[in-house]
Amino acid sequence: MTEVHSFGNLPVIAHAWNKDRTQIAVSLGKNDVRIYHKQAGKWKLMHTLTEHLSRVLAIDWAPKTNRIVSASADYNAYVWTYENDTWKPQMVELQRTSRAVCCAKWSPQENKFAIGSSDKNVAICYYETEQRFWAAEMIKKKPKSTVTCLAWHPNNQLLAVGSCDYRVRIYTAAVKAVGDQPQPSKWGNIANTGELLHEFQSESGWTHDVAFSPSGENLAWVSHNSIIFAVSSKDPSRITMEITNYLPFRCILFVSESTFIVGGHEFSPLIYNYDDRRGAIEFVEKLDQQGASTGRQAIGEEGEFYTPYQASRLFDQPSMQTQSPEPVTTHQSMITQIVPYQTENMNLSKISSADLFGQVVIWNLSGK
Amino acid sequence: MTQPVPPRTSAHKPYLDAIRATLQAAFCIENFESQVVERHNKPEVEVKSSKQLLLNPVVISRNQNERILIEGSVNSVRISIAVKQADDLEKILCKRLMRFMMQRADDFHILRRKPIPEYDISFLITNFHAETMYKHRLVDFIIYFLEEIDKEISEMKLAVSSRARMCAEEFLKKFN
Repeated sequence: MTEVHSFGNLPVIAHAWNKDRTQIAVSLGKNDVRIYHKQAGKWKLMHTLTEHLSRVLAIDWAPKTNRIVSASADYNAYVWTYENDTWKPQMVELQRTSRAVCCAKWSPQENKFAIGSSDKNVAICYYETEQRFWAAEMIKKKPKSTVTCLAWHPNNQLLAVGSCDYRVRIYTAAVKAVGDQPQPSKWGNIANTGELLHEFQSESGWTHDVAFSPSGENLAWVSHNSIIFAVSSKDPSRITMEITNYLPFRCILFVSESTFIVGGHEFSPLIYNYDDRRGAIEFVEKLDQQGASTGRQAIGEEGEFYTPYQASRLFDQPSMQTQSPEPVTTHQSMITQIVPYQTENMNLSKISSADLFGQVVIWNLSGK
Repeated sequence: MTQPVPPRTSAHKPYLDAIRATLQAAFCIENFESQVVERHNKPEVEVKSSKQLLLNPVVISRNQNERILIEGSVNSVRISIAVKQADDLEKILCKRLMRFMMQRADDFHILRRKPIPEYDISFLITNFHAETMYKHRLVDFIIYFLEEIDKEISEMKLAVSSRARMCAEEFLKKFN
């Protein structure tokens, strides 16, 4: 059902799969991108892409064109192309970005990608074929705070941006230099690059992740106040909220047109259903079926007397009697990213989630 | 000393449960690079560089003397504890014990070298600690610390009083 892959004790900040899922690129909290290859059921380190000077914060692997974009805290982003058995980097010319680059995503047709950074900039980057470098077009109406997440609309021309100023914005991202013909979309008319089409507020919670549904009709995002928001292009003024009792979620991914998965501090991915006609978000189930075990009895419950000597020995116990139940979920730490793994008939059948203790888990969704 | 220590009464349970729930919510921290200085990664709760990155501080108190202040932010949490000090002897013992621990803050990792004003001891937990330590264990440790500090100070007070009594007896025997 679920496969668990472990990359040591280092946090998996970002991960991305290649097209046939035999290789995975991970950022383990260091300054490099590591590419592991699966050989005989074990992960072997194939390449180490070292060009960054600080922690690598985001990785995205374009399946068709086989390029990797990596963004790091040293305010640089590189595009890596695979030639002659090595990965060659090319710097992306990001003018005026002087803070960490937090997120990077290839567009669905992979001719451009978007990056968001800590100095409130969002840039859409494309390859200038004449001068042969990656040029960036900045969006002028900037968010007011760090950009935490990005999502492309399936039509390759709209970009949803979530940031720490509690807002989610939809911008147009049609770049004439790449030959994009502006198409009309349900969210608004696209004329130039970088126009702000919509702005949604999350009620004082930092936006952690944003996602478009496979057709682009629905947009959903999760924020730090444990609320899941969803809005449909048929009625952008009506935002549906679902206030959950769980700890905040950090990632969201649409599985089908109306079902999505969230994961985060709750240690287990959860499936939700969005009904845009009724305007409701309903909880479907928790992907991790193992329940939490009952914690061992706490010290000092009624009827127990300890001498001071015994009380001081309790500090030496390897596992202090915990009053909170030990999490017996597959993930033992916060889920950092959920990435699609396998698609069947327009629906996602497998997803992979990474957490802070070096684990990448592949979940099987078929039948849900 | 073989005098038994009575267990925690259930009156403390709501106080500790409230603290546990708040800590579990406040510990949802993640990596966040500084928006103000390039290439820096600072605990936002200490730097307070921008208001929107901070959460509302919460004070949970049992009475005027026993309080705990929890300040959260996007990548760090600061927990300050005010310990009950009933009389002068307890005040001295508490101050000594806290200073003993704060001087060794490097080995504690999550301890802060100076307490916040009006509190006796402070912890600073950043996302880098959360990446290497289990979150539920950190919460358990803070709760355990709260329970044990009171016990430790009472024991030390008993020890000081009994030792003082023995010394006085021996001294006054000379005049007998």
